[in-house]
Amino acid sequence: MRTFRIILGACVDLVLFGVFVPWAAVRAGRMLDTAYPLSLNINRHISDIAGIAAIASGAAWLLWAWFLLVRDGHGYLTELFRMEISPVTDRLVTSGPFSVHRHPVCVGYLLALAGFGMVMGSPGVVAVCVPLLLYLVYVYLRLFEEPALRKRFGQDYEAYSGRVPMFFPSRRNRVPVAFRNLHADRIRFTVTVAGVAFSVLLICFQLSVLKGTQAQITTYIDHTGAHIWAMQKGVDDFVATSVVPRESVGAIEKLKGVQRAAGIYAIYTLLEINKVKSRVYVIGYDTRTGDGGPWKLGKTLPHVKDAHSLGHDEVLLDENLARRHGLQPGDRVSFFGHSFTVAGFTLETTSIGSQYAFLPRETVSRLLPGGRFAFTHVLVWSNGNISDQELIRHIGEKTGLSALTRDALAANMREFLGMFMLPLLTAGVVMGFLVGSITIGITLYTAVLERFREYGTMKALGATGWFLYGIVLKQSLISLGIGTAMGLVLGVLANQFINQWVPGMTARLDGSITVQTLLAGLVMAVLSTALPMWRLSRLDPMEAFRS
Amino acid sequence: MTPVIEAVDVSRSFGESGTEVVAVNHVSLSIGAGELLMLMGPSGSGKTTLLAMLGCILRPSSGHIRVQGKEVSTLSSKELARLRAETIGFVFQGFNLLSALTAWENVALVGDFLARHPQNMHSRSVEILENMGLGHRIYHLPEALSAGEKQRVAFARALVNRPRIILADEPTANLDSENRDRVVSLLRQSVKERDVSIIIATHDERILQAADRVIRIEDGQMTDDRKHGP
Repeated sequence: MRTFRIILGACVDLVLFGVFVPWAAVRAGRMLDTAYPLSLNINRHISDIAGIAAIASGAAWLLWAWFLLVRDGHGYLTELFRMEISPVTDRLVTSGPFSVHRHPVCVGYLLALAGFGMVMGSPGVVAVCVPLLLYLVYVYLRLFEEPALRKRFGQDYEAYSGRVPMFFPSRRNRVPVAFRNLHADRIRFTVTVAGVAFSVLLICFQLSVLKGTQAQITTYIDHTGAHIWAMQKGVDDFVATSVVPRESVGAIEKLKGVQRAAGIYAIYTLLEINKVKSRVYVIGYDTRTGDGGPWKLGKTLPHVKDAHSLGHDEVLLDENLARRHGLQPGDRVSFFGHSFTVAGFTLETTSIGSQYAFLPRETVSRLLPGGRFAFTHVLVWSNGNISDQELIRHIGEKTGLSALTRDALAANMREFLGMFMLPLLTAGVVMGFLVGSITIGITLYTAVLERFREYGTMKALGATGWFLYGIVLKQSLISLGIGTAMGLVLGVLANQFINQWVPGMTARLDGSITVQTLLAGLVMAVLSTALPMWRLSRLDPMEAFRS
Repeated sequence: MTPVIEAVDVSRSFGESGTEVVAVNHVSLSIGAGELLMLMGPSGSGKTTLLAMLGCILRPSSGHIRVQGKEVSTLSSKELARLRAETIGFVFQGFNLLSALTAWENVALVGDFLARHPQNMHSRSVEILENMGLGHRIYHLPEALSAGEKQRVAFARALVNRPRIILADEPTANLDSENRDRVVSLLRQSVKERDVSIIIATHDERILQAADRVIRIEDGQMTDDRKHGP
């Protein structure tokens, strides 16, 4: 049994600390590096050498501590949230690295992780992920591991913790009043953390959905690669009906600065199969050039290799749309009164409230009334010889059409989306923010009221107002730190769930949203202390004399 | 010799004019180094208010308080807090230990107010608690301590910053006779060994024998001030 527990513990350690934590740190670091590119101008060789030195010394420190735990403490490391997975130590180890600080395994591990970040050249890992992990480890150790050690080793551990610092030697390693208070009020603490986690999840979820939806609504515009979009005069988005005479394409192609132009059909229609209805945006594109066609294919019939290989009576359907209607490649589906064979699925073609279907342009021109004489949009590729603005002016003058750059059209679409979605999502974010702030504010306030006499005693004994505020702020930051971390993890899971299991909806959680959520958490922490601090500012030290 | 604490014609009233209550009325006293003074008087006589003014917790409505010759009325709240932490130790009737902290942490906490070295504070707190016969209770929470033990921890807390004065408000009120004698003996011992001045506000006549001097207060006024042999 003991051997089994040792092996189990080693496996948990390996998966959790050998794989999951570094993977999560690197992924988060990379997201931050992408969202906030930072060039430190540090010679790559120097950062590599420093990183390798940090990895080596961190690993050596960790292994030495581990060796002592096994040899002198007769136990192993894997004890998580008071669950003893592997056999725990039966003797307190205070020698070697344990005489320098109380948690050399954690310090060694984080040092090695920071070294890993240096070798990778990721400021996000070194400057954000490792300090954040250090903070989470600190909170975990204070709330779970140290109370367990105190219980197991009693006075020996108390004496040891009074003598040896937790991580870093410090003159200001104070009596941890904030942690002790939280530990004493575990139920309140749990409620606070759960409230914060929920509100952070709400904020993170809303922002991710907004970002995902913005990316969805412009997905076709972004992926065609066309620099300029020409449409019927007066049209400035991709939703309104547009009719463009066929000869406009030829006229545009002749303009100076144009590399090529392609007419497409983009028409909303309704697909109904077995009483399941979907709004579909049908795109008719030129299968010879592939311009305006799909850019990423999923499962297809064997002969369909890319956008060029679509037959006259075939259609490529968005994967989510096909899944919704239970369609497979080879099935038949009807558009504009004509039956098509589903040739395969397209990926990244789900937009807000609708999905894309791709048909050959010539087939669409035959089916649509007036289709032989007009397209709906013209995609224009510039050769870079003249500016986009100049080209837009030329298109307007020559054809009388409205023309917009890709970015301008995408911005118009985002604005269009924002008109009805943004107020809803903003309300969600504000609600999350308020729920978090009020939850922590109320729990902190009641915690302060319950210990009002104790705060009065501290003030009478010589604590300054800032000392007392510090206790409240620390309690708030600890609750916020854990709640925010939990909320973000839940946010990532919600993100994965939506993208995997909710057809037609996309959430995009990236570095900027993570930072925005963290900032929201920090602001919540500070705001929530306002009421308790106000109460403390009016605290009369005479409170200590009241019995 | 400069008195450790001096109150000159101090008064303190509460409430607004019309409903004003005068808790301390024109009291003057001073206490020298190594003196144990008891403020005797019935409940509501103004002992605690006077003690709070002497301990720089409450500002007098009129009059002056000097601690080690220094006028405190001009000091800011922050300066007063530092003065209290450095110079004055407090013992309260209800012990006032922080419930989430162990005995040694309760004692060492006051070192944090002065940013004293944590390791030194730990060893010093342990030493004082051991001297008080609480070696086996150092790492216990207050809830696990008896009333007498709590009061001894509170007394250790009052001593840990090596104060010049200890102010105790009814320190024996919640104790049985054995613990009362023990606390009184500790107070006397501190006066003798550490040259600390102690002011005890009490209405417990049974501990009078420990005092060097007894001041009686009634209705906020000093009615008697006489030497008393311990």
